[in-house]
Amino acid sequence: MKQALHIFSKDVRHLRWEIGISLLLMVTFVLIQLRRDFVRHADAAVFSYFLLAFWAFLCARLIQAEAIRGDRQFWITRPYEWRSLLAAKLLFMVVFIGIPLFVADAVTLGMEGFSITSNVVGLVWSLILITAGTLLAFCAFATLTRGLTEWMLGAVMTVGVLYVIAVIANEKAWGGVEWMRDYGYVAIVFIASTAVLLWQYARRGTAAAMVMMAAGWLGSSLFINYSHSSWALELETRFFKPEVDPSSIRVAVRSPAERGRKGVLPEWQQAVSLAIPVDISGLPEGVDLISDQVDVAIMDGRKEIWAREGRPGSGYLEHLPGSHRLLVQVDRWVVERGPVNVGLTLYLTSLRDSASRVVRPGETVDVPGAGRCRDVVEGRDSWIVCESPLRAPPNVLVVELGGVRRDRFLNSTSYSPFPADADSAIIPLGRYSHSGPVHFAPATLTSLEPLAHFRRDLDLRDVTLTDYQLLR
Amino acid sequence: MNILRTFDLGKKFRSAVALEGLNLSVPEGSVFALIGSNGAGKTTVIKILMNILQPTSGHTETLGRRKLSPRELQQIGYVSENQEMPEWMTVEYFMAYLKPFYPTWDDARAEELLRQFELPRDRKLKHLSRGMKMKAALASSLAYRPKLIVLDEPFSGLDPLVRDELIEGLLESASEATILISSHDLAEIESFASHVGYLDSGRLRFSEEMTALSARFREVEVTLDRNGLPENLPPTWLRPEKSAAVVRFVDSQFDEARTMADIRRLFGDPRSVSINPMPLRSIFVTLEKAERKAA
Repeated sequence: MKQALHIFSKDVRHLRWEIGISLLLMVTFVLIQLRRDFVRHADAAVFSYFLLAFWAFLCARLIQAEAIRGDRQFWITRPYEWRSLLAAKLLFMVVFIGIPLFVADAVTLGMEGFSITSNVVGLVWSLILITAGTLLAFCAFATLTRGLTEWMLGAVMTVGVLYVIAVIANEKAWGGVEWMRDYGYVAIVFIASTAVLLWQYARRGTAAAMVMMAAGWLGSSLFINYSHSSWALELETRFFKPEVDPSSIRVAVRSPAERGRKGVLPEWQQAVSLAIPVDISGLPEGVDLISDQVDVAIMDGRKEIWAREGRPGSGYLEHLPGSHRLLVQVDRWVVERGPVNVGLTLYLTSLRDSASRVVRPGETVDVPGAGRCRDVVEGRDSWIVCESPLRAPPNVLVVELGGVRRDRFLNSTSYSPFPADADSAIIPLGRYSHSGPVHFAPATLTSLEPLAHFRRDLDLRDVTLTDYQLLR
Repeated sequence: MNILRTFDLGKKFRSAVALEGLNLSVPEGSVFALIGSNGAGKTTVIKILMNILQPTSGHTETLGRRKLSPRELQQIGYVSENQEMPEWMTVEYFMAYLKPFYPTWDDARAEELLRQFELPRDRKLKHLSRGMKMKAALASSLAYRPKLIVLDEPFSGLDPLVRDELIEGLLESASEATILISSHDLAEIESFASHVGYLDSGRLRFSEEMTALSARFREVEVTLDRNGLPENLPPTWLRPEKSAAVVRFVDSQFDEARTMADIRRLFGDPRSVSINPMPLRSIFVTLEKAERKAA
């Protein structure tokens, strides 16, 4: 420990200017976040990337003060204890990035009117997540490079590859279980970074460490961008302890009210919306239902000819006055094919009303479980904006607009049991909004508390899909 | 007792063989000079001994240990010509920073070395000349009175004055330490080395005490009454050449009685025989040329 502190104090002296700049950037970042202007909040998002880039640079400077790669560094023939050296570097990171970030987040929340004491666990958790998922990776990467030029080239290449992977990626919305994807990503990065750091400091074997790092980053990137949400929903239905037993809830398909094609589709339209009426029974008093994801498989006999899984936006359960229907999107050629069998897998969540609040123009209201919400009007556009500290709201927000209920109004609910989301340390106050050309306020915001997650499978035998075709 | 040993040491860089079957021993208390031409493998041996590189085959023992832990490194001073130093540190801070790493750090000795080498305390290492940097590296490696000093080409590219100062500083530590030094500067090494090892293309050609080496190498000049160089010269006679009635060669296993007997057997009764000791540089050049000719 004595040696670690000695190396730490040397690094503080060596990197005093970089430390100063980092702290200055953090103060600027807090000031940017505290601007009340909603649209300008995007500035904070842009600045957060700049801040991350500077931390990556700071980590590189820190690690390369005793570079691991190479055989000419003065320190490798000096009596350094590798554990002390690694501890000194981690201590530096905690003291000059972690703690200031914790303070910055706490100040941001405090100045925004949220209680710091009730969020302190979340703040610590958030710091653990950013350390595990980001800062350790920065340090691990720096151990693989010999100097700043090499580091810069490596960083540009890595960011480029990860960006390309992300650009051609799947949809991001995962019906409330995005947290599993994010935690999976953090876990992979943490394991790879820790392995690289331990290996490099104990053995100084850069070739093997490069393989570990590449595997970690590619693995995590492919995982976060290409894995399907179905496994996460499946896990949730099995391991989330229900507050109300969902076994009595029945979902059944009804025949369409009228058969046959209900109009002509324009030539260019390749996707068709189907509206499948469903009956829902056995719902306990005061309990509501929403769909987190609807998977569709269309079969010719037993042979699957078309399927869509893990695309939460492509199908959902719609509430109509006194009834429900499933809205799913399928390719036009499938609809026009003739009689087929359809398999539907519904991942559902039962909920009960937690609280309702009316938001009026210019007012801010606290909606329990959904955050602090307000109506914002800028020019001809209007927003309902809800702010939630450190994590996406645990409850589902429903808005009644003109007598029509809009489920998942902000599409931001997270069923995560943890007090902070994986990306919440950088911008601690999440802002979730829905915009439109109409003025929403006054609107009734209802927060629904999740009770149970479960799955129902439906089969439609020998149906003609044009009978369900929906023309908008 | 040997303070450094290598056992069948081999090292390959991809397909290039840098070391092959190297068995080297450095006795405690010696000043061991490792000599050899460029690319002979001197730096590779030293880096493996210092655990900077991993061998491809065989192993090493430094201070009796295969793997150097910080405890062993506290007893070793290592200086290399191309070492990357913490350039942002001043000389004084560099010394102060290293002090806590060594329980045997001697402040008085450190002061003495700084004075002796005339090192500017408040100047950053990046602003020092090459010679000054080497002095700073050596001062920081001698201040804790190491048991073993390992120097890889320390005099390379330095002016004679700086070289003398470095050697002077080194000699003051020689009484209490074993020194392993690789160098091209054979004239300088000869003045203080007690042992010498000759590396050629990754193989150790010989390793022995300097006095024994000097004793067994002699430049011999034989003046004859007749012309002609006989065949079947002893294999220990290197670089034989003849001009008119004079035959010259280097005897690499000189023994006065035997050499004289061989001369008489091959040349009859020569008019005169002149036998001269050789400096290390001449021995090195003779060996190098003989190796090249043999190759």
